Amino acid sequence: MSEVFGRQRLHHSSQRSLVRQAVLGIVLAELVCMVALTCVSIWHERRVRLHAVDVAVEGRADSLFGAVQDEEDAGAHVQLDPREMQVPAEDAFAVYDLDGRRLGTSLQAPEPLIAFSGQSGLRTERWRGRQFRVLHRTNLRIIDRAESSGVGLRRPVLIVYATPLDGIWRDIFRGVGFYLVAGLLLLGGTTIFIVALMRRVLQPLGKLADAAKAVSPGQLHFSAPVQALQLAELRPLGLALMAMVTGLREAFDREHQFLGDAAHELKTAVAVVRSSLQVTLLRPRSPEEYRGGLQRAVQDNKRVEDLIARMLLMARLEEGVRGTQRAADIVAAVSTSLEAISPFAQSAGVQLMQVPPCVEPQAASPLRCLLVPVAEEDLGILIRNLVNNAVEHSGAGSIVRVAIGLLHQRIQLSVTDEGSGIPEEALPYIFERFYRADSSRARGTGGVGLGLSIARAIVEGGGGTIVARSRPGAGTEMIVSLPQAAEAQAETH
Amino acid sequence: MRVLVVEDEPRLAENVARALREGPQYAVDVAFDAEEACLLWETCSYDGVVLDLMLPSGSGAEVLTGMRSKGATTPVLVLTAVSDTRRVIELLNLGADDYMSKPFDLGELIARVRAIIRRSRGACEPVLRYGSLLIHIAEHRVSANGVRVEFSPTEHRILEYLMFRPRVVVSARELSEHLFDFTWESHSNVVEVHISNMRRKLRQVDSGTTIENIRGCGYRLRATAE
Repeated sequence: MSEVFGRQRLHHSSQRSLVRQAVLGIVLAELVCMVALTCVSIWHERRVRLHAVDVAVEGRADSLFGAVQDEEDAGAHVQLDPREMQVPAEDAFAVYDLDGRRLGTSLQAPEPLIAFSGQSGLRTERWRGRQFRVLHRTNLRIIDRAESSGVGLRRPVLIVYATPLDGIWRDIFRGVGFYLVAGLLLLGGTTIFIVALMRRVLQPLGKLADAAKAVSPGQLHFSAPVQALQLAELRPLGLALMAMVTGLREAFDREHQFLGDAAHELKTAVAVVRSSLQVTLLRPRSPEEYRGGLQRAVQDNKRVEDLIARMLLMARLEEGVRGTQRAADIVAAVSTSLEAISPFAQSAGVQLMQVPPCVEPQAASPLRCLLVPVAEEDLGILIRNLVNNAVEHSGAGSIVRVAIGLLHQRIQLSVTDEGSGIPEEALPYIFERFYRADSSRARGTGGVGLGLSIARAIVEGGGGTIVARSRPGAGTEMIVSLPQAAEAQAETH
Repeated sequence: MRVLVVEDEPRLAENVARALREGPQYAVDVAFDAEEACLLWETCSYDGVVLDLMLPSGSGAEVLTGMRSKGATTPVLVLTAVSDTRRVIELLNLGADDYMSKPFDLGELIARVRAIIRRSRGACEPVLRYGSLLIHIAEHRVSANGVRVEFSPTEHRILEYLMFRPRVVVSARELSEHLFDFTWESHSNVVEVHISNMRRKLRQVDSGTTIENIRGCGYRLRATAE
């Protein structure tokens, strides 16, 4: 027992949770989105900030150039004072002529940053672990304008201007940080919300499971909770469960009914034997009376045997256990069966008549052999049951007709009597086990109420159908329709 | 006593009827289905009913409730194939007096039928007394002042019926209704003949009891000393 529980618990722990999966999936998707958004916004922010730095650097380079322009001395040296130009103190710059001669630098300018280069443009450089944005730009310096009658001397100069990028990353993270924090808060919020939502959404499923849990072999009643039936997704499941439990209950009820009926029949049959023996022993009797009593008991015992044999046959047929699933010839089976029954029919004053086979017009050969997918023994039982039944319900002087036909590739067997017929209200039940359409008279003739059930089980085992048509007072017609056996079809094609 | 046996299995019905006729020498009628049972029960006066539960054209329980609702007080022994306690309780509550489950012992059935009839007539003892007269119902023995009186089966039945209701006038019709089933060719003359024989036998042993003939009304068991 404990082992079973342990395995169940293990099984339980290895179960996957729908809620966990859904929540995990959604949160993961949200996280990916958030990371992507953060990366994009960092990239964007950096671009914007860098652009701003570039504009600022260009501006400062311009003002530096302005300062150089204003310098009266056109000579080799340019005097630059950062304080005059109002540029940040940590910026570094240098002015070169095109030959690479340095015209002037800022104070404490780091040499690698302001080194002369032939290429103009903006670039990012690294010095002592710090990043700098460095602008190289060539300008045309016009000097001595007054001396050269307004035209002036044109001296191109190269301006190198470097500004540290230290603050830019701080600014970027400050800008993006807001989104990051907001995103994380949102993520937490949505996780809680989704968990609550999923629990709520799955509540009807839990209710449905609880309702299903209450179903047991002894308690085969199930009605899906209204909550579950109101949900489009759960409604089919709920309805399917209800239909299944109802079907099971009906099947159980049928079995229960069968068991009850079988027990009743058996007990009655045994009671008959016992009472026959006891009546004989009730008082002292003559040897003839004793003999008569014993003969009656033997007859009664024969009925018990018949009943048991029929019940066992019924069980065998219903389980689908067939010794030899062979095809049998229905034409031969009808002849044999009619021969076997004719003494009984004669004693009842009933005439048995085999109607000439009716065949579809296109069928070329006359019906000499028609194979049906039913074992020979069962086929005999089927025909004998139907004909016996017809004879039992026929009055003396009437006719029981047996006909075989081939219609739409199916073999039809019909047994028609001119008896009292079956009341319309009884017609749907005549194939039920132990059902007797008429009262005790059927018992008087030895029937146990299984003949037609056995017939139906045999026919359905062969993939066929059996129906009864009856007009009270006019007679009954039993129509069996069976497919042709596979080998017979192979022969004809 | 006249008993109705309702049983759809012909052989079983036959055996039960035979046993009741041969054992306690009751008059027995047999009904094979619910409809027939109701008809017989309504038209004839029965002293007891043996009722099978599973019947064609309606269940035995329906027959029982139907007849009880019409005021039938006849004691009923139910025969059932199910020995389920719940069902038994249900049946007894519906108005059954006793039950037996199949297969049953015929001796026991006879004893139980006898017991329910006796109880329904207000007698607890299996022995009926009136004056010096004593009748052993089960043993078919009659004695007066301790001397055995030899009665024929029919005479015994008449005496038993009268002993259940001493001092009450019982009509010849009632007597023949309760003592003869449909298999008997009975008329009041038969009863008359039996009664005069019985009177003679009772006088012979000097029982001090006689069966009075009250003209136009019927018969009455009375102590001559009174």
